[in-house]
Amino acid sequence: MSGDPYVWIAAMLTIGVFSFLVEDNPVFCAIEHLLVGLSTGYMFCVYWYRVFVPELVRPLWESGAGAEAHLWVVVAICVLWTCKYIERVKDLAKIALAFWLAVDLGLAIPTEMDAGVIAQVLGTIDVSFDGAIVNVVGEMVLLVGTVAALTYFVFSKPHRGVVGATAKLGTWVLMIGFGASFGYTILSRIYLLIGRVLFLLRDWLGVVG
Amino acid sequence: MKRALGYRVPAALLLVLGLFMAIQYYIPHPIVQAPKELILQWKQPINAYIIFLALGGLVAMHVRRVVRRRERWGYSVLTLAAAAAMTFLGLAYGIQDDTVFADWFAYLVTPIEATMFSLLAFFVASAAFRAFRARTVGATILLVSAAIVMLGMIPTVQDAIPPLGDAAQFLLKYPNTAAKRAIMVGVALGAISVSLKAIFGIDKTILSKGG
Amino acid sequence: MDARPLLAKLSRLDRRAVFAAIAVVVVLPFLSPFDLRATPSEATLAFDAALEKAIASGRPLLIDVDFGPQTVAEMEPMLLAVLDRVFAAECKVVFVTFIPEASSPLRRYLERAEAKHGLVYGEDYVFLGYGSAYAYTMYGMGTNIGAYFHSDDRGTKIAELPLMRRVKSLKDVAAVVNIASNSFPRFWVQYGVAPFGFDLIVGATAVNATDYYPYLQTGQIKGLLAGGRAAAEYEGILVDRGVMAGPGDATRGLGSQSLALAVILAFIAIGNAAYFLGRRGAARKARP
Repeated sequence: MSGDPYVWIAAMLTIGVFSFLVEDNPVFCAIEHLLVGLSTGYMFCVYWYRVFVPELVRPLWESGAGAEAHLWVVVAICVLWTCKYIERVKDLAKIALAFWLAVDLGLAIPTEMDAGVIAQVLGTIDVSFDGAIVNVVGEMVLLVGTVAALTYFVFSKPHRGVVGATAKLGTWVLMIGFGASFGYTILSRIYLLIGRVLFLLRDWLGVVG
Repeated sequence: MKRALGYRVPAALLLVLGLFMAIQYYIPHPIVQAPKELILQWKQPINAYIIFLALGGLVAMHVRRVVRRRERWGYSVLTLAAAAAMTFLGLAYGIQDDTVFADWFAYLVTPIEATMFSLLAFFVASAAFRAFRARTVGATILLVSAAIVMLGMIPTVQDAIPPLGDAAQFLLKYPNTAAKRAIMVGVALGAISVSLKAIFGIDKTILSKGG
Repeated sequence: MDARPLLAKLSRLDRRAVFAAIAVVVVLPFLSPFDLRATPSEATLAFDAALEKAIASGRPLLIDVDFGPQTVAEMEPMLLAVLDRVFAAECKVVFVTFIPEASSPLRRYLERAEAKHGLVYGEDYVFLGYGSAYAYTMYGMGTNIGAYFHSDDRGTKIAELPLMRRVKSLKDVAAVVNIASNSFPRFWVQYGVAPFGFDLIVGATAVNATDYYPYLQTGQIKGLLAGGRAAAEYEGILVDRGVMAGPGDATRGLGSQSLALAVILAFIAIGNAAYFLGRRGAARKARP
């Protein structure tokens, strides 16, 4: 058994969270709220030390009107953002919001087109007939499956006739994808439980090497 | 003036800056890349400030709950005390590896979060048992696909029936890729569409005109 | 014997009995261990090949660690195996994280690795710390890392670190390795690989991994470790190669994983059997 008080605290908290499996109880509720508080403090300190001070406060302090003077724009945007909470000037916050959205949305256009559309379409039509028969069949499945699944998402055309049949095939392809995701999700969740069990048995109780 | 500040100025900024960020991707010349670098550098501290505002909002919500003695206000006292303690430890003693701050994260936050997520293993098993029924053709395909992938992940089954492992890999590599690719392309085209509509002011709700 | 009543009863089992069954099958293999070996999948072999190629190039790596306490059980073995591999090969590495809850644990992993492999901070490895506004920082790092990280995690100015004089942008690294429990590999592809074209090697949770297969097929991702099972596969590869002295936690969990998967499949089979037999019985009763 561990002699480290921190390990004992961690073990008690782990068991307290597991108590939710029996039924919701005050211990679990208290641990939930403890987590929210600790996480709040943690996030504030990390953002303060790792982002706000080194990327804004210190450069402005050291440079002032020098090389990092452009950071005063950041100060202005932060002030505009705070206007959201003051009724008389809350419209000014939309300028800060517009800046934020412009960068997000503007950059999304070429990057999504490049990585999400063009590369994926090229990957689909680049069918190789070299190699084992199972790979060739797989590539055909990939090509037909992608087209069929994309057809399913075309809602502006009624799903009748050839379009309907292709969309139906697309539904089945999507179901295979969701089935694979489901299987992997179960696998993933089990590993999370394995980690906690290993902590309790090895690090706390010491019954496992 | 109110309408200009409330909508026209932000909309103009969204249009000009949005187009600039889209076009700069294709122009490597320094005259375009230099302002882009500055704009991206601004994102980090602004993001931190927005997080501070959000954390402040969370604290304010719990303070209101305590002051007004709302339901379960005692738990809010615990939340505020934990937040105050963690913030004090971080600001007073630093956040490096050999501090109480780091120990509290490793032995308090980590086990709680890890265990909460590990509960999902139980819930996903219970949900699969109660609700996963092959009622339709689609559901049957989903079930069979999941079963093949899960069985293919068990080492003893994989060794005893190699074609099952191969089938699982085939499903992941081809039909699963096709499905996820279709979703990916759809999402990408949707994102491009939403971005263009917002930038050109076709979708005015994004800046809440009239608000 | 008519199995319908038994199946019907089983299908109405209290959920706490299901929980208990899962708990038992997860705990049992640790108390009575049995050796299991995971055969590496194509994606895992591709991960290994891509990482070996990056190490062999002699150039530094950038490793982005983006998992928090929620998924530590699945991702930690993956990260520890990668750390063992890169530092055993004396590869120089720049570490970064884009989620705040990874910065504290990553510091501890790196301190342990430093002690284990006799590393010199600043020369063998650097931890840039937490970078906010992930997508835009990734995009900006493609041309200038120093503009987004004025100092490292310890507060030292970037220009004072010998390794960072070699690594000024992502063009100076052999590959980016992203060990992530969220969708950040997608952002690396979108804001990193698409504009700058470097090799991206990914370790992901099993939940997210199925979404990255399209990127693997196009070559936007060079290799993929898909969850804890793939981490066990990679541990096996490293044990065979002599890089790791023995199997890690991912391999140790294979027994529990296998039993739990089998039990869940059995539950699903029981539920469906009860459903179909019940439906057939109801149809028979309804016939005149």
